[in-house]
Amino acid sequence: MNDRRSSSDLGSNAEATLGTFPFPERDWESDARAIEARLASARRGSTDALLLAAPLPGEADEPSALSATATPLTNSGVRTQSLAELARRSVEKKQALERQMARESLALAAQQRNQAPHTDALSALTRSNGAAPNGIATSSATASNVRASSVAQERAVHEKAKPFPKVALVLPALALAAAAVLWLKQPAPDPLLSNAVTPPAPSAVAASAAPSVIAREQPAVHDELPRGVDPTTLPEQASPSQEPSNVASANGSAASAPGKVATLKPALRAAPASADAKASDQGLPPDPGLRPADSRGGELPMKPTTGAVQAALGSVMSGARHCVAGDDAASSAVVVFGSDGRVQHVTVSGAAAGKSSAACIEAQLGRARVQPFAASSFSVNATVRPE
Amino acid sequence: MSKRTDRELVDAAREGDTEAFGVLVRRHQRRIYRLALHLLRDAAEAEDATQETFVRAYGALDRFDGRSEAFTWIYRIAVNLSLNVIRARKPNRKAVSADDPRLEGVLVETRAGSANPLGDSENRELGRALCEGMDLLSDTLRTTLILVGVDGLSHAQAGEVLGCPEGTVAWRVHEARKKLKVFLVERGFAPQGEEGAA
Repeated sequence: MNDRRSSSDLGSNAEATLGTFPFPERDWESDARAIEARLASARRGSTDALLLAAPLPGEADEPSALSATATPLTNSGVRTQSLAELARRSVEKKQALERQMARESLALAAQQRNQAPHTDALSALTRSNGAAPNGIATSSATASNVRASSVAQERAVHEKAKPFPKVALVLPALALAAAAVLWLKQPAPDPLLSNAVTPPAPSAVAASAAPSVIAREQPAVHDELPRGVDPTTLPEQASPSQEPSNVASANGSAASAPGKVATLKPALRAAPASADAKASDQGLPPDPGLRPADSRGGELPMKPTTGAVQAALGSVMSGARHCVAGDDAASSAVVVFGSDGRVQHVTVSGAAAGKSSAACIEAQLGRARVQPFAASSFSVNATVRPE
Repeated sequence: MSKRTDRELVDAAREGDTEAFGVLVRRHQRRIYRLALHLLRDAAEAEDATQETFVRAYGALDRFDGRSEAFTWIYRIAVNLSLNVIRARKPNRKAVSADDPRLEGVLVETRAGSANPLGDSENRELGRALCEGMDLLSDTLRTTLILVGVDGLSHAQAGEVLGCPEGTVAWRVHEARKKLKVFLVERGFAPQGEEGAA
């Protein structure tokens, strides 16, 4: 019986002793009478529910697959692994990977910018054409423009050294701007965020808030300060009231100087500068899609997705079906999820209504979980069919 | 009158028939006591736990949903009560003493069949080593091994008691036996072949 002949066989003597472990006989009848005497004063319904729950935790190295694949045997305390929980973990893992990738690419970009010998060239460009760098600096005041402007500045330097046709510059600039927008939709890297807040005045920020005279002194600032500026710091430092004028001046200067730098104007405008210029007083871009993911926390969905609800209910439905095993007809249940993703209430109707199995169904379905959502509650109908 | 099943007795007790519950008590009190004795290693505590198990089961009759066997449901209460006692104890009962009630049973058995004093002595030592080995197991492994190995419950029944799947019970029993085997070998009780198996 069982696995007595397995590799863990204790040997015939030990097995025999274990299987027939004797114990001293007692006066069982008097014991039974003592119990019956206590029953007279026992009150029905007084037993703590914890005594009816499954005892003992699993072992640390217990294979989880044994628990996950097995069918629950009773209606209480059976460990089942929620599919919703698995899905949630998978998404969290993916997001962590994306954050890590964003962090690494940011660090790499900052390193490359620091190594690039373009500060002198930029100074020369600023001196020769004061309007264009001013336009670049002011339009880079917003978070999404930092990357576009820095890349554009590099382009401008290269352009100064080696002129290209306008079309050849505009297309890559547009592509870079689009890439910047896409990049901003990724979660912002935390470590760089904290590093970026520490410097008092990154070059682009200082230039955005400053008048054009100060902006002409910008090359010196560029030389001293790190160029890897995290975009999330920018809206707080740039005054919204100043941004439109800066943008306007950028347009104006670009128009007045239709040279090589002016070809960058579409790219700079294509970047989310216009959207960011209308940022709210709280310093957030108006379009949630353009907001840095970590600036104010993620947005909750209005309600859980159908798939999430199905997965959540599917993970507990097997237990609920056990509750109505032997019933002829199916039972219905209305499951109400609260905004925290937990089940608030379960109402059972149909064959199981009014029976003890209704409480069993409520307990089983009550273990379902979905991700938190914005609405106050969300209800869904579920049919519990007998096995 | 044919013997009533546990389910019928529970149903009758629910209706207020205390005699029916008394039958249930007499039917299962030995097994419950043996379980509590092995879990608690104390005869007085095992007796109290056995009484308490039936009283609590009576108090929870309305919550018995009938989807498991009545005795596994009572077993679960017994296991929970015993574990509560163990948790409430001060951690001073690790060693197996000479008056361990589990060994008392072994002594009684060997005294009755004393044709082979040498074998009796070996059996006592083996029983003692088994008790010591089981005491070194975790509560989870020990309880599972007692339910299956000592009390003879099937994996499915033990799963009902412990609220876990049969596969988990099988894994726990295997692990417990493996550890117990290592312990017995260290104590000089090398596993013998099948020649002496019953």
